[in-house]
Amino acid sequence: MMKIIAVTACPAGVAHTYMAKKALEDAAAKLGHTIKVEAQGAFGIENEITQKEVADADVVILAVAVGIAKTERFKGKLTVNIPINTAIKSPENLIKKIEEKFNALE
Amino acid sequence: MSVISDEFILLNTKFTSRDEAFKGAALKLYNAGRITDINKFIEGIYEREKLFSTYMENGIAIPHCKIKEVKEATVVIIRNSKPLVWQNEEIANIMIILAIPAENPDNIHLRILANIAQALLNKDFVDVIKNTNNAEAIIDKFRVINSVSNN
Repeated sequence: MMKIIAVTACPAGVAHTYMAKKALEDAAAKLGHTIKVEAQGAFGIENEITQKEVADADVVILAVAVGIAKTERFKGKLTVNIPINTAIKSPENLIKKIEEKFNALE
Repeated sequence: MSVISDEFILLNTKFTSRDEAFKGAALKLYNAGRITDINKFIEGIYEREKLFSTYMENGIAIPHCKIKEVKEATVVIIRNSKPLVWQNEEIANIMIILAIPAENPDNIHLRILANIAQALLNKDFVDVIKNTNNAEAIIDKFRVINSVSNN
């Protein structure tokens, strides 16, 4: 089991930001991982990731199509940058691939 | 004014290109006072499409734009009789078009748009959009999903 944190963001901040958030949450739950997804969209920063959650996380997923705020939080963490569409179209494959990478590290 | 209403759900349309479908949606929005400029709206959609394609999968695309010429957050749902060429190799027959106001956006209505986008990940919702000939059925299904996800 991995502890995942993720940030989603897209140009309009209304459609893909929230689709990617839900897709990642559903896929992580299905595959037995914990996840917290912060959305940086039209409503500002929602479900903000705390310092403690960053410290505890095994991996950071950035599914962003625009510049995002507060990236300095993730300095030094294992970070996976992906196109936001990947998070929406094949979230389970994505998480499985990350899992392989993660397991190979240990 | 509702974000989602049967007035903006167009089923079994006969558009022959996505451009025509965008124009059809824009005209509908303009005539209802939801946007103030048809051309700006269509340009906005193409501008957004340039950043990255809004084609999802299963023949569904979610074109949208956020511009000041949108006065009220609105979704236009188009199910075309024939699949239309999107870009690259993609073809779509369902378009979920989001008109997003850039000025004074009302959070409640924007939230409904975001929830509609999220609902497209729900297979039951997509099945209703694909199969029903009744616009109300789409709205009802969305209401159910929306109320469950907000609890």
